Amino acid sequence: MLARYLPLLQCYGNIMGRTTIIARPLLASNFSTNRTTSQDANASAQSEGRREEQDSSSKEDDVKFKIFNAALPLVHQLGWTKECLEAGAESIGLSKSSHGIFEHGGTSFVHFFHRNCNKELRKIAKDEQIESAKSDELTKVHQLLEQRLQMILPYLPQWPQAMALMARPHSSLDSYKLLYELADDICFFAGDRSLNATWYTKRAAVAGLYITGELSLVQDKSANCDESWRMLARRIDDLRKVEEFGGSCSRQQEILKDIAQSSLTLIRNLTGMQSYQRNSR
Amino acid sequence: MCYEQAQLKFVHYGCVRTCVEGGSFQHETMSLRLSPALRHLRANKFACNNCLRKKHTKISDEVHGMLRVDHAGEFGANRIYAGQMAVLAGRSKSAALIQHMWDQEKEHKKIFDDLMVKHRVRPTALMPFWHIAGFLLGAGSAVLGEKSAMACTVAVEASIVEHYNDQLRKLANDNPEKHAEIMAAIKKCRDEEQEHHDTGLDKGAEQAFLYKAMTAVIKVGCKAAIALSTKV
Repeated sequence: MLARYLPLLQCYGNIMGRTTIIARPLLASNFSTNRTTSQDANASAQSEGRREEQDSSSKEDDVKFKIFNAALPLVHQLGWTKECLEAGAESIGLSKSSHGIFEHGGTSFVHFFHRNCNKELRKIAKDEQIESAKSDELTKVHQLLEQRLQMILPYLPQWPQAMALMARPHSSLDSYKLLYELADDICFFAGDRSLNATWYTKRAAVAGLYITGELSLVQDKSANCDESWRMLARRIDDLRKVEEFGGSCSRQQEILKDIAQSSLTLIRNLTGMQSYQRNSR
Repeated sequence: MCYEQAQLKFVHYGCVRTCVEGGSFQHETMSLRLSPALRHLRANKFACNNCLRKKHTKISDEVHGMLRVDHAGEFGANRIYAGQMAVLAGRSKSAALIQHMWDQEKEHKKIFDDLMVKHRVRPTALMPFWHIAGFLLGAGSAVLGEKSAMACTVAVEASIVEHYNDQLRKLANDNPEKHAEIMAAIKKCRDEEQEHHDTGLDKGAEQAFLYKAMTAVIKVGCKAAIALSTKV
């Protein structure tokens, strides 16, 4: 049974993994249309979390966002590189060296892409009001994870390069932070409001699922990446079973507590401590 | 020069000439190096997620830490009273009083639960540890006797009141209006913890065996716990 969880465990140790670049057919769909950055905060936002406020701030990413959007369609030819950013900047009429806005070239490009995807995910979660939907938490997690993984589908051929860039030591800290934010957002919008150890286990599980999904997509040969979506569904089912098992464990804990208390009373009765205490009160 | 103009000048002039307000073109790395004036802007506007967050966060990392430790503290207090009740229930005159104090702690925890969810603060990773340690402290002090249980209460509440007062001072120094809600919550909890402290003294805590030593040890433990839970 442990063997089924080994791939998941291996992923924890191999965070943004390295895979060989495999030639794949180009996927047609382009990324999001050019949105303005001045997205006003959702009026019914219940939480005042830091990331929600960041989403609503408009000015700072203007030029950066324009260059980013212009460079995205060129990723297929030029990869996640400085050259791609240069070409993107040129195509919207800025000077070539304005790629310098992205400090570390390709790495910053991928970093910004991830940040943008996370922002899109938060927007989707709020617009579709996933939090208030009737389904259970794991179904919502599944839904949000699929949405997020689908955002990298258009760039799948070059995705191994992106993953390698994020796995480099000097950008690994940023990668961890992005992954943490993604896991936190997914759990929060799926309705998790726990404030104890399960906070950590849930986010770890979601982070692991995301990485597994990403790795699976990158080497998936099936049509429409069906194998990966099926694998994701199976992992969610596994989590459901683990949850049920955990629930049954805590129920048994109650029984164990009762047994402990009654055996203590029995011992006190047998040794006469019970009546001694009652008489001496 | 306004920020947008600075941006445009930076990207437009950068590669051909050195713009006084913009920066210089670095031939070795084929990239732009901002002049000190714009570097200040860049640090706040162009920079990575981290810098943006620090500038624009609703409440700062420090206040996050405060909420985290307060939540952990109320959770610990709950567990201490649970431990005391587990030993003293039905066997002591003060059982009803301890139950009442426990109920008030449950309310405090609820207040901080809501604040934590509202600001999406990460709870402390040591929760399982406080779950056990709090119960053991409560049960251990209660086993030594009712007055020892009161002494434990007095020591813990004294640490907590001092800690809350520190937090209130920090928040008031920073920005009382912005932190009004959090300050109100801490004030309410602090006042009730002070009540518990005084109740404990009334019920003869100081007559407990080794009162001074016990309270000293518990206060040191509380200080360590507070320091840990702020960060971890």
